[in-house]
Amino acid sequence: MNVPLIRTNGLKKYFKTPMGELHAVDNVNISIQKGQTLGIVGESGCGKSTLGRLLLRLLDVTEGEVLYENENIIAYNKNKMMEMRKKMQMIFQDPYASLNPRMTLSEIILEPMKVCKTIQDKNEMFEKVYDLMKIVGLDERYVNTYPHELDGGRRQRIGIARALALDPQFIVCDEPVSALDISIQAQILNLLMDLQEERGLTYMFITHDLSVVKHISDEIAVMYLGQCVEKAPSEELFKNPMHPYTKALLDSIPLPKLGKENKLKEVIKGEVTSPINPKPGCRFAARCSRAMKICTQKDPKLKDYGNEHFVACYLCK
Amino acid sequence: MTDKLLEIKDLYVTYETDDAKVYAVNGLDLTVNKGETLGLVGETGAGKTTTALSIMKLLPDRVSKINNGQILLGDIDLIKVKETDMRLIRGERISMIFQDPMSSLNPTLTIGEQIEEVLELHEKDMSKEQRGRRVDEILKLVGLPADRKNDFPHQFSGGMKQRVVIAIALACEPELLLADEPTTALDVTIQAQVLQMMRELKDKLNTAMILITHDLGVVAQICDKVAIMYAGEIIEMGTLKNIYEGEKHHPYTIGLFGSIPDIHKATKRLNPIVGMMSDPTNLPEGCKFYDRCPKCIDICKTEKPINKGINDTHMIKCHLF
Amino acid sequence: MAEITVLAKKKHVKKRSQMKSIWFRYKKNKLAMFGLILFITMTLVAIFANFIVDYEQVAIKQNISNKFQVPGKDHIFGTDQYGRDIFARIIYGSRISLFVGLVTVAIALTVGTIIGSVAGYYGGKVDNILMRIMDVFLAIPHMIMAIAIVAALGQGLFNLLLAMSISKIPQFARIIRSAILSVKSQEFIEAAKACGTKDSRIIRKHIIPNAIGPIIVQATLHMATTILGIAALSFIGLGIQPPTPEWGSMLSDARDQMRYYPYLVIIPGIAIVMAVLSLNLIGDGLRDALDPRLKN
Repeated sequence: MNVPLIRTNGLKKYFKTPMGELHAVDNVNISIQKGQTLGIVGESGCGKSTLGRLLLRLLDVTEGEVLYENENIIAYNKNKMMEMRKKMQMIFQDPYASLNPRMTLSEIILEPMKVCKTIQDKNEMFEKVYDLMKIVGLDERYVNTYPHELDGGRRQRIGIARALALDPQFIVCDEPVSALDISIQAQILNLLMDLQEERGLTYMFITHDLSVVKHISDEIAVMYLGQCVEKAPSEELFKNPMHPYTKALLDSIPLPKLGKENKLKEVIKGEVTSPINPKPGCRFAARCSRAMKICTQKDPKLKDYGNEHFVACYLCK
Repeated sequence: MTDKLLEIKDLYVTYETDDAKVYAVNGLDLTVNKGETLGLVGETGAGKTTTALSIMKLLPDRVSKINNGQILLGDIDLIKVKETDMRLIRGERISMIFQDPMSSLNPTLTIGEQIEEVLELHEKDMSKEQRGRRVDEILKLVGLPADRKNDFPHQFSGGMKQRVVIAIALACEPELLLADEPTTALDVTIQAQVLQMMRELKDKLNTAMILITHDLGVVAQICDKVAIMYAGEIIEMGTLKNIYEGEKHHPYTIGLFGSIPDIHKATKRLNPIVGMMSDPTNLPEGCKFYDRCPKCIDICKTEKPINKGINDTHMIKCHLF
Repeated sequence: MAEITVLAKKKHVKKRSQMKSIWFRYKKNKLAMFGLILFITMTLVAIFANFIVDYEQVAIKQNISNKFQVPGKDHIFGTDQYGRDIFARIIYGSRISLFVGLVTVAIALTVGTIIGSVAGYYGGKVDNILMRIMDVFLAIPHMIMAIAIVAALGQGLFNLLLAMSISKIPQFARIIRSAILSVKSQEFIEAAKACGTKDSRIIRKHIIPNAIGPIIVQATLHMATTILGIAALSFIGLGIQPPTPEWGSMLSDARDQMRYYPYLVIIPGIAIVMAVLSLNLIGDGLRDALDPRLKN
């Protein structure tokens, strides 16, 4: 068994609020093999974006380890982390807010190279900018345009080019296509998949959209209120969802098809419970139609059900 | 006695800024019958929101211009209606709900007060008690407990806020509801709840609705008719069956369906439509989809296509038919 | 420059400055242009005052026989009670007003930016301490503070500058802090951090350029209030000392003669109004030109 490129160990992030402790990420263990994509799926408030940022140390970890090639990067000092940053990058959700409105396209792509001093020669830097633009499908003539002059799809391509500027091995994609039109989404997803094939990139793909995640992920982890409730290879998860939340999530997706099998089945009732000072027990119990007594007493743990399929639920035998 | 509630004929709307003139709507024709739900589908820049704002006459003052066309609500041409009369129509005969529930609600008024405001404006002969009771009724209708009517918007979640917005829109039981991407900002499980509620309301109140969205899945859940919009005009229109199960389609429609990742199919690569929507300040002469169409022929470049009826209910605007 | 060499080989599009589009929008605002032209005229007059009238002979030297000449062909604005030409005194007075206005704002802006950036960017205790100190200064009416400083340190140009800038630093710090707070949470700042960008570079290259709009507007408006402030201080005798001409002190000198020779009061008054008005118009015009429309 190969050493995974990146994995987490008991990762926790708690925020202090006036009302108590907010459990944004609670004891999450994931691992991603080199060249693979792990999809992280969940709705707002599940902690997926926080998880992505913890991996890149854009947020401080409350507890736990992030192991890159088996070394705990949480313990790294500033200099070592600088080196690390060249290997791990992020693509952001909002193509409008993730680019500095006062910098031109080339300046944005150059910036990481300038900061990390990966290339000293100015001409070489510009050659690389043009290369990257070509790779992500941006025409040369946009080299001196400002972000606001371009549409969402092109802006997102700039974000991708910027993420590639340091030749990273691992990229966290935080909802990279959620803000784009469907036809542009498809273009960008294809681009990301092509890049992965050509460069052997490893992705953590965060999204709320199950149909998108299926296409790009090898493995998927479903998150709810800071915890991972189910984890399985992509095909397996869709064929055989076991956790009630995963099932509800799949059932809630309105399919672009007619017919009886499309009419939405039983929708989940109620709202997400508060992540502040959560009580012991399964966090989905309040909304689960089949909750049992034990569900509100003890936290269920992730158990292996074969086929690399893990579920945290007392209903599963 | 006609069933037609709203009829838009040959609508042209432009936005004029300092730099350029944007041709937002270009010859739009649309009909909505009483009690019917029409899905208006298209991507960013297609002109869907502009169309809705034109119906409500809420287009931005100085920059927008309705250059041609009629918007007929029954017999009245809304384009010619004065602002003072339009205010009586808004909220009472036609209501609109917007995408972001966060900014649609006044944070300093309770939700009860906001629903009551609409009633005060349009139902002048209601007493205070009657209004109070109506507020309770409406809250129940949208699935919110009546005892929360003295709470402020920030005390509600996104999904509940959107229900409040819908409650305000339906308070006076309008004939037509314009919903501009009402569930796009919501989580998918909440979206399912809200769609179910909207379906129930549709049956109960028999309100006609124009649902603007880019999500073909949502359309399949709740609409009776579908109109696909591209660069300011309707390029295909039909019943749900025509659009989802019919054999003939506009190439753009085929492209849209092909772009959606399908959960049940095992394909690895998606089939996006190449390129992007044409610049609305500089629209091409012939078919506006010409440069992205995999099936275009010579005539598409020079001549604008016209509506071709495939059958009574299905129309496609394309030279191929 | 290397950039242009490489790019020239590839026949790139010339970098269109954002400055150009801001200027383009500004030009369309007629009032703003009027303000700008007026201000530039006044500045040029102040700079080239030497070439227009002689300082010693005309503005300072007393000529009692010439006193109280009503505005006419020898003296456009007339003469004051010492026979000094008012036109000359107005022109030289503009030097003081504009100079002090500019330097005061420059100092307050620089110090305020440093304080505001640190407070806004780092937040937490640092923010708290710095802002509470600023609050203490803000709680004191700024004219009173200026008066107190001048009274304590004595009169003179330097102390005047000090007094006026100290009173303005907290206001700039506040504005810059809030501008930084609004930019800080944007994703492109996170993106910069993801590459390991140092804090100083983030503030310098990413935050300040995006927060500069409101800062510039405030700067022009504060210049206007500074001019008023100097005039007020001079009016009560704490600002510029005679015989140096200054609009406020000219008003003060003319107080007793107002009834008989109203032009002595009206003319300096108009000068002050014009300076303040032009700066306000420029400030408003800039605010409109820098508007969110930049984002579209």
